[in-house]
Amino acid sequence: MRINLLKKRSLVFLLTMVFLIILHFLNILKPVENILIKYSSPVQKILYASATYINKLSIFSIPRFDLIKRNQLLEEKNRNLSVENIALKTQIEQTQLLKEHIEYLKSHNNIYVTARITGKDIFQQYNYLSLDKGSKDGIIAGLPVIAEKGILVGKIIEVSENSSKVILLTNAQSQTAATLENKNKTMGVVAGDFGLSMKMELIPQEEQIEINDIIITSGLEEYIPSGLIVGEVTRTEKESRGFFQTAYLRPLIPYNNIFFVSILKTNEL
Amino acid sequence: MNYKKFKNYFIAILLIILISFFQISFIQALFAPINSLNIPLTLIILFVVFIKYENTLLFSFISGIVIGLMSYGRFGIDAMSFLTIAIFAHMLFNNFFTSASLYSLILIGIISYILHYFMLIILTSFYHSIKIFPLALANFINIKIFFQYIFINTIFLAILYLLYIKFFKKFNQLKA
Repeated sequence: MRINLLKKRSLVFLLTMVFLIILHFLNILKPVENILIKYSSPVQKILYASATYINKLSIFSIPRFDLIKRNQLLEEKNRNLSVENIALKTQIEQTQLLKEHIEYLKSHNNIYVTARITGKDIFQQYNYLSLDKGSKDGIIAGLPVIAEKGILVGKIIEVSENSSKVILLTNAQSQTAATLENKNKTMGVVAGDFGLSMKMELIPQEEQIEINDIIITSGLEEYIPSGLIVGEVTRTEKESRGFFQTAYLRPLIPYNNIFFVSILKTNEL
Repeated sequence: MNYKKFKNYFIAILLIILISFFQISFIQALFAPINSLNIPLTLIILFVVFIKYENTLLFSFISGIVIGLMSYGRFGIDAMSFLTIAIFAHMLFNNFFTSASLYSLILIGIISYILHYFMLIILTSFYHSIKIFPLALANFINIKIFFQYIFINTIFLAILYLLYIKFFKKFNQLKA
């Protein structure tokens, strides 16, 4: 009799879950979900920031403090130089559009929304982040999400009233129109590579690509402006009997160490 | 239901929700291999052995819902998986590994973690096939992450079991 009761209870839970799934995808549960997300956001922000702080401490590795410090300074200097180099090249190439460019830079400050990261997807390969800003802050799907100094980290993929989800560039589902910063301004599409890095495929083999070349957004997508930094080239691979090559990229900043981002509200331009 | 029972249930549900937030917002944000830990699932396996089955089902249900809400496009998958694991682990414990020893628990744990991993693959593929979710996890099976996941969570399960035996069982005996 007890076994039957237990089986009955199991069935009740399973059927209730199926019912809730249907209600969720019909958006009937949306108000309740929004309330839960809204009031859980402060707790999640604190937890995520704590985890990011622990990552930065690297307390489980054997530290060579002198080398670590030197390496960090060099990486910071390299990032600054890369960003500065890209910004200067962009200004030179856009002299005819200088007035619009200055107006865009002036209005830039008004169309950022800064958001805190509240969580990540439980499955590593998925590379989605949750943010604490949503439709009530003017966020819509497709907007670019940047970290420090205009480095693109992902795009908004789902929006609810008080939160939104970001698909990182390293996610295999992510695709971004990009340009190689070489002589020919080779264009292509950057896709995520197994959640760990990125790759730019279908580049003609005759294009010269160097290690540490920078990839930026091309501006061909609806809400993604040009000039946002996507990553840098780590290696290239040419097809043995084909016409194309693939450039493998890495992000300029480790995604594990960011806990706030800015969402460019380019839809309001 | 009297006031005390209601209060106990309320506190329990709050704790379950906090554990789920801890998983999504803290554990997932840590470095590898720590971010492979699945605390709710490990607790489910432990609860199957040490607490009432109905409470284990409730824990699975609520933590699965909360994790689903915080994930993209996967609402329901974690809850269904957790509930299935709770039912399956309960069946294993009652029919095969009945001793409640560390080794039985580890075996139940390993089988449950493997089942959970493959259930996620199957359920996301199902969501993908009915066009709810654009990506099937089957495209991203990574052997290294799979074994890392099993290993880390089994170690964690063993640690929790030993802690429970050392502290909580004595506490319960004292209470009795």
